Amino acid sequence: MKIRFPIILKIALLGLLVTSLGSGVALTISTLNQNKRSEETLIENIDKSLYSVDYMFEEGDNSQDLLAGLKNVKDYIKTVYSNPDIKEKTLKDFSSFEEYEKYFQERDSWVFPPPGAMIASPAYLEFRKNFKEISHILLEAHLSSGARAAYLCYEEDDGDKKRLIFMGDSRITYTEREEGSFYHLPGSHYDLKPQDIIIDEKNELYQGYKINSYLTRFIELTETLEDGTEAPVASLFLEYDRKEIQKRSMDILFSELIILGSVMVVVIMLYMLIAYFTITKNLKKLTVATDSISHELKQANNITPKKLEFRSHDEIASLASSFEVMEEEIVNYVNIIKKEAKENERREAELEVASNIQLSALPASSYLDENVELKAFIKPAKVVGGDFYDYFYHDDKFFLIIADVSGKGVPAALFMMKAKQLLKAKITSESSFRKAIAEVNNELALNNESSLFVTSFIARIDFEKEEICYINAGHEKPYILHNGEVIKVDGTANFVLGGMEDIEFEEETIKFEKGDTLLLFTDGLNESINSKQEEFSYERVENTFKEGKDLSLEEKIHLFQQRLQEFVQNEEQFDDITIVTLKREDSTLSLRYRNKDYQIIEDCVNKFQEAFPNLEEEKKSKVGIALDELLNNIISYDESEQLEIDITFTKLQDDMKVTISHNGQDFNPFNQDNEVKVLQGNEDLESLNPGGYGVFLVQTLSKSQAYTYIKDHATITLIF
Amino acid sequence: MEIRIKHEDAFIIEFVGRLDTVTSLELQKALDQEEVKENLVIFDMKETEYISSAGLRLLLSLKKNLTKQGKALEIHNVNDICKEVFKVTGFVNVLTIK
Repeated sequence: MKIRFPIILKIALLGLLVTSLGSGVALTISTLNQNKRSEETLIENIDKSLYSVDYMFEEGDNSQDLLAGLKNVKDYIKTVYSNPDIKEKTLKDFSSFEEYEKYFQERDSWVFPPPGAMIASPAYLEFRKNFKEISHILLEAHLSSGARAAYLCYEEDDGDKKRLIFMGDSRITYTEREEGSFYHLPGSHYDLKPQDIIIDEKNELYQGYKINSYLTRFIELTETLEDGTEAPVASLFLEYDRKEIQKRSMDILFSELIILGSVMVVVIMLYMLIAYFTITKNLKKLTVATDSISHELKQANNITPKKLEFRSHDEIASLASSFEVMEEEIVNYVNIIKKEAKENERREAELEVASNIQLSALPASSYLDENVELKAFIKPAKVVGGDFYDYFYHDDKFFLIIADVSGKGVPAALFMMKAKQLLKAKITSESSFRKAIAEVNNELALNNESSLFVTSFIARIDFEKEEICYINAGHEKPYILHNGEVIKVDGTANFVLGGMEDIEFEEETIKFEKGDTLLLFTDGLNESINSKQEEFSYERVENTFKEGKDLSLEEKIHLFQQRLQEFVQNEEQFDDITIVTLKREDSTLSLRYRNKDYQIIEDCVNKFQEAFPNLEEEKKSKVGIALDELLNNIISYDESEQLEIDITFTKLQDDMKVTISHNGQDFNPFNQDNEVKVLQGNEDLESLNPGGYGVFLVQTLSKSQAYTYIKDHATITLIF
Repeated sequence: MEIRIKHEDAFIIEFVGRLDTVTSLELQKALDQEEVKENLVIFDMKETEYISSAGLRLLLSLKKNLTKQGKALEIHNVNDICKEVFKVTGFVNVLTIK
């Protein structure tokens, strides 16, 4: 067999399936959790993305540069703000831009945001330089943290007011508050811890955790003072888009899954490799060994058990050793079977010969003569059966035997042959019917060590007396079909043949008239069972026989086979089935006349009436009249040298067919314009023509008439 | 076949058997030998099996002859088949069947 789905592939597929399922479940749970633990997870995720930013601000030159730059910027801004002269001035306070520029140039300072044009004030330039550095760092922080924006901010205490200064990538802005109030700017609530500050879409400030579109993260920047303590300098604001973070965290999850999957694939491949060397390879070894044994079983005569070498000590090695033991057993067994097969072949051939001998010992299944028609059917359950039938004439009587030997197979068949020969031999040699059967019984019972016996129905049919004299030796009771009615042949049941010596057999007599049919069968028929363990039964045999009352013998047997098949369906036949039908012929009477003499009419009518004694009187008379008229005509008009008349009477189901064939004139009596005058009673008696009524009567009394003329022979066919 | 002829109040002919081609010739022969003196002839068919056209011819000619002589013919005890023959041929209308 070709292996289409190796085990390791199956296991690997299973592994993959489990992994994918696991990943799927993990993903689902994770997604669900993501939504549930939104805030915590978001913050965690943000923290994860801040490693680089933390590093940027906590270590290295970046931090130093930032702090130095910030100090300068702070100083500059402070200078500007502490100058009361310029502090409150804004662009709207000047009538023109030139005036605005002039005002600040004179004071060598700029309020911010700077008014667009780059004015080269030395303080401002210094400030720009520092701010640029800060911007640069902020941009870097912004990009590396994945935030949508980054700001640096610090608070200045300006006496009665506090001012929060924001530095972005490109500009600086500020907001102020009174002592004890809040800033009203997008950004932070200064009094809160940075990580607690959340700003919603409407730029309102809230305290605590709340889901919003933006989430702001603070990093506090500190400076080490001379006394060694850390002092806050500024805070870094990182503003995140909540949706963006969620998306990113999913991406992270996916990438984790991909990594997990890849690991699984590698593990599975490793596993397959190991499985191949520990399981598959060894199994293959076993397969090869098994195949080679199978091959040898098919081809060679000498089979040698194979030795399998296994280094491992696992289940497969154990299987292999069992296999070796089994192999040896098989080899031994096969050798025995081979011997027995040869023996069986010989035996079967012998059985076939025996079966042929047995079947050829039975007479033909079909027989017909002027007295009887016979059709038989036998179906052995095994090759050689125990049923048989026989028929022969002896002393002008027709003997019909049906028998069933107890047991099956060869012993039954041998006993059957013996019984069959004995029956015929004794019946034909012994003058007394009863005595003949008694002798058969004694011979069969003598030295009958295997205690076999025969049930048999032996019928002696006397055609003249129209009766059957029979002996029923323990056999199924037959049926007779008489005028459409089924009669059971219910005479004395004697003991079986061969069962016990010196028994008397009673003979019985039953009417068997012309047209009657006898049905004989063995118990294989009525005891055939269907799947419900029901028997075909006498009742069904009787009903089937009655159902086929109008059928020919052959059709009757077919009907039995059909009804039996419908009944048993697929159940196995366990006994021989034999059916024999015999019909007493009454159907035809053939008469030949070669003399031209009116006396043949009387002879013909007499013989017809004798041949069909059961025919209704009216029909008999009609046929008689027709014969008189037609034969009279034929003889009267004949001009041949030698008149030949052949008459056949055939009894049909309800009708009588009469065929008259002759070599006389080609004259169709029924094709004439027979103007027969049906007398009315008012005719002149003298003028009446006394002839012409013959053919008219034939036409009137018969049901149908036909005439043919072929090869110098005229044939008249009449149905009555 | 048997023919019994009786001379009682009437001239009685009893015919036993089939009245067909052959037997009607014989009956005719037998009747030819008889002289009918009675005024009534009874043809008793009690034991007549059947009658063919030859028998019909015989009866018709007998009827003719008797009518000429002014005598009557009666057919007695007709069985079913004979009745049918008389009927289909219309002889029932010509013969006196009792």
